[in-house]
Amino acid sequence: MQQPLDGLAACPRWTPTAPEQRRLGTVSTAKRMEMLVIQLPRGRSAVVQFDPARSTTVTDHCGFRALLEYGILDWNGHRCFPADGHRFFSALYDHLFLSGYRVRWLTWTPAARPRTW
Amino acid sequence: MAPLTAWLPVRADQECDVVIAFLGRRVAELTDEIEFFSKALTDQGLHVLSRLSAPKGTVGTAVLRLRAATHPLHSVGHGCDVLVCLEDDVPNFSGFGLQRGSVLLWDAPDPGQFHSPVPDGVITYRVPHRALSLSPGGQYTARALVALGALCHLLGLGVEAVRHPRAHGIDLWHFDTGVEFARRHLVKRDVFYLAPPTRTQARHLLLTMSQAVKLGLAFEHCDCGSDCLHRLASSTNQWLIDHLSRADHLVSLLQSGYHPGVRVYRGPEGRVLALLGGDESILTSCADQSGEPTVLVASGVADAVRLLIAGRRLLRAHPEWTVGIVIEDCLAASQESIAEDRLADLLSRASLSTRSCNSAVPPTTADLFPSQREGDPFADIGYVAWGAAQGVVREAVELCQQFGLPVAALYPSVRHPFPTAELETFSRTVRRVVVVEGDRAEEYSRRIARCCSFQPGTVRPDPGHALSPMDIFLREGLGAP
Repeated sequence: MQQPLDGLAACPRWTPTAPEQRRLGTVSTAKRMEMLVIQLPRGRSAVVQFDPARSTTVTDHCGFRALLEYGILDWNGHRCFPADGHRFFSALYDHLFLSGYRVRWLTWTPAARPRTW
Repeated sequence: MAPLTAWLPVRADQECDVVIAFLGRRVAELTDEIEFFSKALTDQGLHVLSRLSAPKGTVGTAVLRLRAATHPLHSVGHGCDVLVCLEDDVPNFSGFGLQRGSVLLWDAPDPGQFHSPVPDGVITYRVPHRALSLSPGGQYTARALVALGALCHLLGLGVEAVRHPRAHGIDLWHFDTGVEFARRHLVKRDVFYLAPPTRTQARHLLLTMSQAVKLGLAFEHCDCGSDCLHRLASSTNQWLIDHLSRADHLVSLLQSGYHPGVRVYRGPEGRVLALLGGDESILTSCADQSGEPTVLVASGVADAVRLLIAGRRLLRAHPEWTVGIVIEDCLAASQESIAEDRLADLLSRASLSTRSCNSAVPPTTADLFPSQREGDPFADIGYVAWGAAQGVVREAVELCQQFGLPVAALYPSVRHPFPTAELETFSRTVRRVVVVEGDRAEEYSRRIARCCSFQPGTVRPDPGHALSPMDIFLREGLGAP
């Protein structure tokens, strides 16, 4: 499994705007965020974000509803759901990667948080 | 150059936008089945647009592209999210815009029989529609319905909503077989999902081009009187059925052995003609006069209704004229959803013009069909497009504006008399004029070069391919750093 990348320096072009952060709830006091950036066909992308402090997973793409609803099998063959927190997030990365998507796992720490406008 | 995917912004409002392509030699025959599927999407509040494109890839193979989205659509876009292959043979998948993460539904033969024709990263679901459609029937349409059933399940469409009682003539047994197969045997691995829009939107009507033409030609001859628009709002589907039934008795359909495949619809007055799939020279032979007719070009289904209504208004001011609306080949078999309030707006304008035409100053062609301008007041590049190419240009302009590129576009509706004055005015507000042609004939570029004082550049589609917004964006070099 790919290790999370530290900081947004790994993906310098991706800088969430302030409205996007408010919508995703990332303007909270959480100390650390993890996110998956998925490249989709036709030049589009999607983001799934995990808040370790709250153990919540949010996404900006309606296509993940089915995955969130039916759950995903992890490496051990156990079905996990968003309520499983980090285990689900990790299984989601594996699922997308093995399905053929280009996925990047980013960790967003306060020190690396970009300036917003 | 960095990959384009690194630039595009993340959609943040849970919008969905899916391009589905149906590939097969006899896809053009699946009119009822595609309409059944499109109606299900329209009923969910999605905007739908479908186009049947020219044979491509394998000789004789047709492609029907259908786009469904939560936002209004102008073209079928670029690339392909989901490809439904109904071919028996192994086609060449390289020309359909499949990318990593796209979905392919097909009845794949034994892997030993072919050398991996599917591009890397494409998510393939094997749906054995040939075997599943063997009993009862086993026809081509049955195979398509099995594939549609599986597709509906994968896209998260409520099966009960799709199996609406209005699905007359559709073999729901095969559709249900497809749904059941997908439910039992397919594990969803893709992220495509057709969700109804979260915001409340106006209801939509799904219209084919033929229906739009009939509505536009015979609208004012209905029995509703002043209650027509109210009936449209209260019982939309019944309103449509009644009006199309009425139009069948009023609108003539002309066909000729000299022009196979061309259909000419003539309105009750005999001087408004709609030409589906032919050249404007045919209009002269259909018209009852010796002079040259006013020729307009429709950019889509809704635009055809608008032009027909405005064309009839022009005739009231100039009864000796003939107005012809040209509908290009690629639009002749198209379907589009139209928001109910937009249709009501078009029809109410027709009602207003009926009451006021005698008192007002007689309108001219330029008054009734002004070219629409879009984009920056002073731009580096100014696109000009007629007909179906307008939808592609609208999305290309939107794409350019997202990146802050100064572009503008002019959308004329009139082909004859040629709008020379509008083109000259437009050319003075842009640094370079680029004509976007719908086909490779370059008819408009030549006319502009002949009639105007400037020499335009030209963008035209590659042989056998339809033009897409990304083609315009990339071909003009605007995307280069």
